[in-house]
Amino acid sequence: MQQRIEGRRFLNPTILAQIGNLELIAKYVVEGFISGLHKSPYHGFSVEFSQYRQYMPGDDTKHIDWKVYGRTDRYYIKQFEEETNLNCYILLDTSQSMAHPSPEDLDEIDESQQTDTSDNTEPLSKLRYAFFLIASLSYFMAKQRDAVGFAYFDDKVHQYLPARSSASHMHSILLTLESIQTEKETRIGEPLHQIAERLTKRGLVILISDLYDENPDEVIEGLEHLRYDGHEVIVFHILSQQEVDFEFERLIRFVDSETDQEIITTPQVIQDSYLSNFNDFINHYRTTLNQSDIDYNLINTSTPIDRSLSAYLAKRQGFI
Amino acid sequence: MGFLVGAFAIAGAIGASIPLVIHLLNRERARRLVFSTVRFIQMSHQTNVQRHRLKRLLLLLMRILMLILLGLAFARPYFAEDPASAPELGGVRNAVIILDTSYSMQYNDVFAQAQNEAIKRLDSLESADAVALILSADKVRRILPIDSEHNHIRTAIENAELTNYTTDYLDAIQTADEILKAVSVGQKQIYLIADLQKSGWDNFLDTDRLSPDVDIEFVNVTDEQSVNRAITDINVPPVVLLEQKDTELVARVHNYSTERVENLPVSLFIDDAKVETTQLDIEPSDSSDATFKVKIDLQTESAHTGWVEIDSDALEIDNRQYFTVQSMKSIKVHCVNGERIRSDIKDETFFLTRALKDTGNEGAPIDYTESTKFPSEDVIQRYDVLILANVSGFTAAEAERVKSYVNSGGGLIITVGDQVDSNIYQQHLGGIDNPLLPCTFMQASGDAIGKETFQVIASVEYRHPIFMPFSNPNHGDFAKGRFYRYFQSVPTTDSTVIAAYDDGNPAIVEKIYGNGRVLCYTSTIDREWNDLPIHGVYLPFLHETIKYLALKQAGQIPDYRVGDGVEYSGSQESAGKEVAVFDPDEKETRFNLSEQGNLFFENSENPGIYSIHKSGEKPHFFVVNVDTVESDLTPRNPEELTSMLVGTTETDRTPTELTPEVVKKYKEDVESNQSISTFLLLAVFALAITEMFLANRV
Repeated sequence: MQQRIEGRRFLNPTILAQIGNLELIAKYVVEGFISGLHKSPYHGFSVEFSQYRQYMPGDDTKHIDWKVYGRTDRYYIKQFEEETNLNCYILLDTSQSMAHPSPEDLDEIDESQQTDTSDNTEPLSKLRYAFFLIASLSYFMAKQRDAVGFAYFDDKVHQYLPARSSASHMHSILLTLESIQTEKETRIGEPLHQIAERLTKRGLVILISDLYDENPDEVIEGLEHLRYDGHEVIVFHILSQQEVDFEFERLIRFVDSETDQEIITTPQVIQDSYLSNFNDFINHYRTTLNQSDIDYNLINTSTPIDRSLSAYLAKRQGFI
Repeated sequence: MGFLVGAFAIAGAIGASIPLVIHLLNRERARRLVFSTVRFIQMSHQTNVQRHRLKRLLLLLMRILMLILLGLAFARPYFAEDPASAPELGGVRNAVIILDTSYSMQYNDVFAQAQNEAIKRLDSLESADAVALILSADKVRRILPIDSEHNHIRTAIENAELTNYTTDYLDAIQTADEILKAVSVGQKQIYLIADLQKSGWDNFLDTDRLSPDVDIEFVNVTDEQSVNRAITDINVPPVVLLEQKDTELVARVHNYSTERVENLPVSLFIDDAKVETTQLDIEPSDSSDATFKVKIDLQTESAHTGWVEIDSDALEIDNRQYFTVQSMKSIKVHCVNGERIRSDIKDETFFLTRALKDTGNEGAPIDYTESTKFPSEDVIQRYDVLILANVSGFTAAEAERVKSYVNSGGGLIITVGDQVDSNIYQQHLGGIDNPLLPCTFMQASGDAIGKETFQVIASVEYRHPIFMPFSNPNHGDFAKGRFYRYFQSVPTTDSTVIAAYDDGNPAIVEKIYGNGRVLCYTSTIDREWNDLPIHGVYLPFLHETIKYLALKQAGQIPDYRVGDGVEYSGSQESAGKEVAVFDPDEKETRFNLSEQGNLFFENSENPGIYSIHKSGEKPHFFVVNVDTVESDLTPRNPEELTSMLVGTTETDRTPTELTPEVVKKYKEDVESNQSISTFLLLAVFALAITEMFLANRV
């Protein structure tokens, strides 16, 4: 019970209300029409008749409409439109770099320099921001009876929850988030391949990561693997405000969160050069992923989560 | 290195620590920040941070340096030796450079070497040192007073010109010593840059020693084996007569080298035309005479100029000697016979006539005439020489005529005898106010009849032109003549006794009267009172006397040397008139004659022929030659000279007293001249500008 309560705290009512204002309110209004929002592009044989097609050798004989044969003396196969909910798989990078910034990063850091959130003054780590995002997305999907799957990984896949649409499943996801510990270095490529092997049903794959893999090409290959398997792929590239603007004052001993490598430098001096290199890094992903028809979304922890979701929903309009 | 105001240096050093302290106090403690990844920081860190660190370090150093330099600038630093051991104590080393400009320095490029050596000595001095310059030659000396402005001295050395004068080292050294005496402190040094020839030291006296605190360095610029030849003397007859066939001119050439000279061409020029060339062999360090026996083709009775020259050598100026010569057809002599006894040996002019008439080619061509009466006013002016031989007396008019004749340039010989009335002579020709008589006749002395006692001419002024030919041994002995009787006489104040008897009474007395001369012979011209006429010297003596009086201008030719003052005597009538003097380079200078019609010309700086032109008269020539004492280039040993001039040993020298005032002034002088403070302030300014630029650069 305690876990449930803990899990629910991710469903920040403010966030949800804001999301509702934009898109979810519409979902509530058209409650019964919700399954129609996600028409499958694939034809099946389950629910609703679609059309007849002339029999061809190899077709299952049980789908032959004998009534039509009786009337026309020809074999017709009866086709149905499969109306199914979306399978969404959320993949979370839980490497050590995602745990930052945190209040423990710098004891003496000025208040003004701390990453700010809308209603909380303590620095919001990328991982925490990701939790909010995942919870919001899961809730949103669950409301739509979409199946939500979840996996998290660092240099390997730690847990994989298959896609389900039940409300209890969403709670499982939230509890799983609570139990996540960040320890290891970022290696995204290999886990993506592993997950791709597991996903048998095509759907929407959402990767949430800071993409600090030493080998970006492996990350891109992993994402392309998913794309080739027929999944729609969305990448939420999550970064902290510190990383984006690199605005520090005075001399700082930077310690790498994953490798413990230390560099003492004066940030003002290297700021321009840092930003140039950092933007190159971002642009590399943006360009390459766009070429592979993968949606790339740069999310900043300082921007409200509802805006990030709004941006996501806007981008998914074409999907709907 | 020292400081005049040391406190500022300390303040600067302390001040320099201020930026360092600020830097250390402001140094940031690096705070630890765990960051997602340092990958991008690392990519940017290396070059930027290193550059930034370098810039900050540079700025720190510049700020420290600025404060140090500022402190140093106000401390007024200087570089100098410890005053206790500094030779230039007193702020300056005092040096006097003596540069020899005598004509011996014209030898090859000796003078250029000397100038270089002088510049070297000047360059060896510090800028604070004081230096004086003496351009030294006899008579002409240029002195630049002691000063620390070296550029003036340098310019003076570079522009120094050689003179045609001889050397006088001692005078220059004494002048330098005087200059250094006026300096109270500091090392005192004389640099003598010269050829150190022996002749420059001939007049050394013990009193010429240098002051005890003065050092001298001799810089000898002469060649070890200098070779020089010079015409040291020239003997040209004062007159050349137009009809004279073999005029003898003698030039003495000296060989100053250690090698024999063979076939040295010696040439004679008259009126710019070469007359004859002969050749000479001269032993080392010896002289040889070149004799020219020529018939000089002189067309007119006037003054002529010429020179004798030898082939060129390294010292050109002494290779030529100039002369002037007067040409004259014959000498017109008139004798007033006071004791005429025709065709008798007792005739007053018996010996005189034979000595002067029809002498053929020997001796001077004389046109001799005789009378017993005074010539008239017009006639008397035709004669070159008038002889009053034992003339008893004359009227006042005749006396005036004679005076006028002598005053206008005539020559007068007065001989005495038993006819002479000394009172009349004294009355008309003597007196107090400018008498014509060279001496006052007292009374006749001696027995010309008994001839038991006699006097001889015991004293002869052989430097006088009349006696010069007799100056050498075996060239005539006046002492052979016996003088039994003569007039005792007292020479006037402005006359000269050129021969005297052994009892001291004058035998021949000369006086210059106006433009003429008077010779008084205090015995008879015939054998009545003496037997000189039967001796060999009688005829040449008369001839020399006639020539001397007739050619008084030629006979008066003085031996002008470079720098001598030349006195020109014009007539009374030409007083105040303008004359033009042309020097050897034909450069004209105009003068006005004095009230007495005289001119004193001083600009005889160059050897050669000068001429004085006066309107309506023929030009008057005079020549100026170099003094060949300078031609001997043999140098003195510098060490010998040092011991001669310095004398005392080094330990005897008086050290400069090291008072605090002296040390302070020394330091101030050095600091002032070095101006290090100014440069330091400029450096601070430049650093401040650079620091500002660098600090504001992103």
